[in-house]
Amino acid sequence: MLHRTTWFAIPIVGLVLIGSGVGWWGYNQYQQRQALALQNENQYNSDFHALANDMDRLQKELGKSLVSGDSTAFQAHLRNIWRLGYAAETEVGKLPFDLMPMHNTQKFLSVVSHQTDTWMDTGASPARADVHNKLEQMYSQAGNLSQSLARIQGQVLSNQVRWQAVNQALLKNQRDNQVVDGFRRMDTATTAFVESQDSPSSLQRGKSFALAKQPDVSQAAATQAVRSLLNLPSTTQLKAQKTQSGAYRPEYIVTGTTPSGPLTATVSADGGHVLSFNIRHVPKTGDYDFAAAEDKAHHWLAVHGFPAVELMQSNQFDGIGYFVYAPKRPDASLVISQGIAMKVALDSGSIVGYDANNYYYYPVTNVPPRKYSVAALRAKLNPNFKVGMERQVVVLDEHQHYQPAVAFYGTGNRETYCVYMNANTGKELSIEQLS
Amino acid sequence: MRRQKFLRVVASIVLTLSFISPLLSRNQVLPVADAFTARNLMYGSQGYDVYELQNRLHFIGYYHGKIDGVFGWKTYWSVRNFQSQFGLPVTGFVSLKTKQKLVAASAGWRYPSAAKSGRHGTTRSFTSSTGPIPTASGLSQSDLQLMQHVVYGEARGEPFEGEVAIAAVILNRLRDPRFPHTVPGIVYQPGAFTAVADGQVNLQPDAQAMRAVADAVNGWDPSHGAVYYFNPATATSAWIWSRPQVLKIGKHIFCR
Repeated sequence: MLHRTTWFAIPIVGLVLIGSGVGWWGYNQYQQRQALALQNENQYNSDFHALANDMDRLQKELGKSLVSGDSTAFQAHLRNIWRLGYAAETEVGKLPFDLMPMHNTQKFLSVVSHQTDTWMDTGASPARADVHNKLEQMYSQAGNLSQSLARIQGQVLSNQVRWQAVNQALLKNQRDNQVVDGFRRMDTATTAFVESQDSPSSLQRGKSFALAKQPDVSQAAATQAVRSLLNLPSTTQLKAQKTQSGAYRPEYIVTGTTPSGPLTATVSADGGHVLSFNIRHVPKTGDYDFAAAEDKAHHWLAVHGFPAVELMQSNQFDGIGYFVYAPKRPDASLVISQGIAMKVALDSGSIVGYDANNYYYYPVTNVPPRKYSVAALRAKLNPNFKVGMERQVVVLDEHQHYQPAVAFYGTGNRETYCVYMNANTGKELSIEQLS
Repeated sequence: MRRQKFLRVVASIVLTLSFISPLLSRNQVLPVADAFTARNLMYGSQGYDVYELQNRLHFIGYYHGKIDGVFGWKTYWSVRNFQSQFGLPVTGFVSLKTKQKLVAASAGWRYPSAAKSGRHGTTRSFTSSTGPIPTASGLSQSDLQLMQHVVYGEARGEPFEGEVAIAAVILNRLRDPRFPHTVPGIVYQPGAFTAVADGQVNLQPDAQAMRAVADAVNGWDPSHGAVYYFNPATATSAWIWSRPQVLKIGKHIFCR
């Protein structure tokens, strides 16, 4: 009898032991996962509540600046607005990416910080009507956003909303999630505003409407333009495809295989200009002189009908020489914002890339007269900045208007900088750190 | 016996060749008094010539930077300084004339024995391909490395253009007020990149990903200004389909 019980008991006890072991392990895992999820959740919560708090304070600060009449105190308010705007922007960046409505909040905050930054630069007075109007507008927008955030905050707190659930709802495009709806409402509360953060010599900038009035060209004309620019033999097959509706301006993408490698080129549908081409180049062993490669790129631009240009940047990486040229105006000033980029393979010396997007999309139209001489501008520079050379240039300012300027290249704190001084207003336009 | 004789002949040939070959190559490529090759040097040049240039400028007290064989701003300023002190046109461009003056001024300088052995190799082999990407775009080297990781995690196996486009999207976001203002901010924004969400961003990227980043920061934007992209086979968000699409490269659709 005892015997039989023992035989039954052994597997049962074994099973119980294993079972409880697995259960204990599983529960441990579950707890760890919960702790991690909670940590994640708390991080989101902390960022969200901080954002709501900062928006509230931002609105209050905007309100104070509206009633402040003392220009010194006004500057202090602007500084606070700028600081809170920046903090709020950082917090928005930490919330789930799929909360797209936050995009417009971020945009608004970006506008606020740029605007206050400009006012601080120019020492704007609170008495100015345009400053007052703009502040009022920002104040009411901040109020709307702050209220919406407070409403969502209430829902988050009272309904114990989990951000993971919000994410899921967004993914499924559900309409019944209160938090999601709250954010959707916020989306319409802000106005669209785009401001570029490019520096004068940026290579990648957006597209403009400068070519919009030029006649549309056909697909065949686009491939022909590429063929003649690259001097391709008639045996080379080229395919052209138009960009879809999302493109800022319609362009053709021309692809094919050239004797030197696979090619991708873009041609503007407005006017049929070849904006860029790239030839996929597999680096081989070879030893082409860097300065000779520069000569070749320079010569290529001259042969292909570009105006006189001057070299602005040159560097190399992994067997490719990269060169950037700026077109020269009749008065010998360089249009830095119209940089044309060239790529030369340093094994064979062949041109493997070209990009003139800025050249075509940002033509120089109206440049204010130069009122300050180079010497007068130089005298305005910080005495600790040791100027090594200067160039007369024309650059796009932050409002996308061309300005006459002098670029001073020199050293300070052992680094090399380029300081752009506006030759029309005598003010500093921008500083780029080069080294 | 015969074998020994053969070895002796071979050894003597090798010896004479090793004496002659430096002379030969010197006669071919060294027009300046016993130094430099015929190359002109300019900002961005790399290799033994730049190494020698920096050494010689350092020898006469004009250059205080790192002697690394890369013609950067420090070298540029010291060349200009040298040119102005020695009555040459101040260009920052090292032509034959500048080299002649420099060699005359730094006559006491000799190649250190370590560098001499590798001296007659090609000039470009001096620098490895994994060096820093030179760029004037205001991005730091760690920004570029982070971009390389994202490019590799998101688009390895895609056409090269597709890899450049991923890097270009990051740069486009950097200039768009709707996104964070820094490369790490953009990359680590929750849910922005699947490669970050599933940890693939931590894989060891290849050299091609770095070439893609180099092309993007030097001005190539195959995405045509796109700030979003998705893989239609795996995209879970309905929202992303509502974005205006620009073009498709490989598996990814790029949109604004």
